Amino acid sequence: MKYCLMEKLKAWNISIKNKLEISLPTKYPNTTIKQLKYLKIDIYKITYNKDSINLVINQEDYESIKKYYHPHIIKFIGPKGWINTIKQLKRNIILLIFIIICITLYTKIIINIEIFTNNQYLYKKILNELDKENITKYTLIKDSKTIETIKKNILSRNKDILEWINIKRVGMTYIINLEPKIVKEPSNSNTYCHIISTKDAIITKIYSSEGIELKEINDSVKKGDILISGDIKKDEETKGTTCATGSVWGQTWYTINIEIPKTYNKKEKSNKHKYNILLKYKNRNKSILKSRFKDYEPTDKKIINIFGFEIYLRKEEKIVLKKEQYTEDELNIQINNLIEEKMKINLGDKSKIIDKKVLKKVDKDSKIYLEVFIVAEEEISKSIDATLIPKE
Amino acid sequence: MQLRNINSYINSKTYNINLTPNKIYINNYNDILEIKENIISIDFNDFFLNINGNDFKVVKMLNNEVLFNGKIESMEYIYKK
Repeated sequence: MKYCLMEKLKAWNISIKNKLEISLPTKYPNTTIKQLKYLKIDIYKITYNKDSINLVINQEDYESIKKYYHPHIIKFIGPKGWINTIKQLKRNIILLIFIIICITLYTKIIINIEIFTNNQYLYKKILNELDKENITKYTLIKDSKTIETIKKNILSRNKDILEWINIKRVGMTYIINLEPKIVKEPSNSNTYCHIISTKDAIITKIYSSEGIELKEINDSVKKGDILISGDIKKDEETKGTTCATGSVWGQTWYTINIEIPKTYNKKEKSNKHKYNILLKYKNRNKSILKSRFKDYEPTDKKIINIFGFEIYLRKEEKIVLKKEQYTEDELNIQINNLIEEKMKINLGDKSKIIDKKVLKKVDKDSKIYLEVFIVAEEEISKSIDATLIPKE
Repeated sequence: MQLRNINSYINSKTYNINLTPNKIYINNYNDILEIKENIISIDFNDFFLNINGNDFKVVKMLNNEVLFNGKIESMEYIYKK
């Protein structure tokens, strides 16, 4: 017990000093140790080798040993134990304080506010309201009771535009979900309007809720023809007017020219890959290292997210591009995709292609040139102020 | 050991010789006179201590304490006159 305690106390006492493990070449270790004793060198551990001894000594004793022997340093041994821990903490106190502040900030500060709405007016309005309630970026988080009060306040002040609001905290972000109040537009029954055709077409569908339908399904119409009239007639006599409402769909025709290359670059993954670090902040990406491959396919894996900064580990897999010729089937698929893409731009999402026929196909150089006839179905109606149309 | 005795124990100048199997721990000695594989000779205030045995090796050697490993066969006290 006494021995152990003594050892421990001594260890505590000496552990503050930095130590060195050195190797001392000697054929007579006992003589060498005795000589070191005369030099008043403290030796904490001795390990015996064939032609040398390893000694753990105080760093400050190294120079005096060097005067008489030819030692070489094996390793530095820092102070150990709880004293060392305290020393390390003292040494890194600024880092420690910084970490504590960061953790506090991470749990207590809001750095972003996200409002989910497509309505720009409502977005700005709610942002102002939140500002009034002191919910802004880089402010302390509010407790749930305060949030509830704020929600009630915002709702009461914006009864006419807001149906419901929810404020939710996710990490350092407030997420605001809104439900705008749907205000029914007053009926414009007093106005006088017609539904007219915007294109030459054959009518396929008519949806009418107000006004008199002047055309029927399968009727051929020209651009500008009145499809649904705002005139309310009885026995060929106009009794009144209304704003015709409805939508009319029709079959339309187009001729489009497309060109498509006969070859394409086929991507083939090679076994080579490199890693990179990617920083993302507010949709801005920045790679730490310059990409070493000309063509590569990236795969990102999120490592950490600090204060909106996202750090990703990016795996860049080298890609070899090979020129390959389309097969007949692949070429047809490509042509179809291209036609649909082109028509979607012209007609919009709601319309559809009913039929298509290739009128002309020219194979020239490395490309194929096509003239295609398209039959489509699309909305052809448009509301127009009836007073602008001259009466017959 | 009571805590109040620790201070006096640390500051004590009295020698200590602790024997454990194949280990000898000595503190508060004056000098080490001889270190050989079969004999260790240590000088204390009042006497010399000769330890006989085999395979003696110094494991630790500080200013006033030393730890040996080895097989102890006999110990001899020679009092100073």
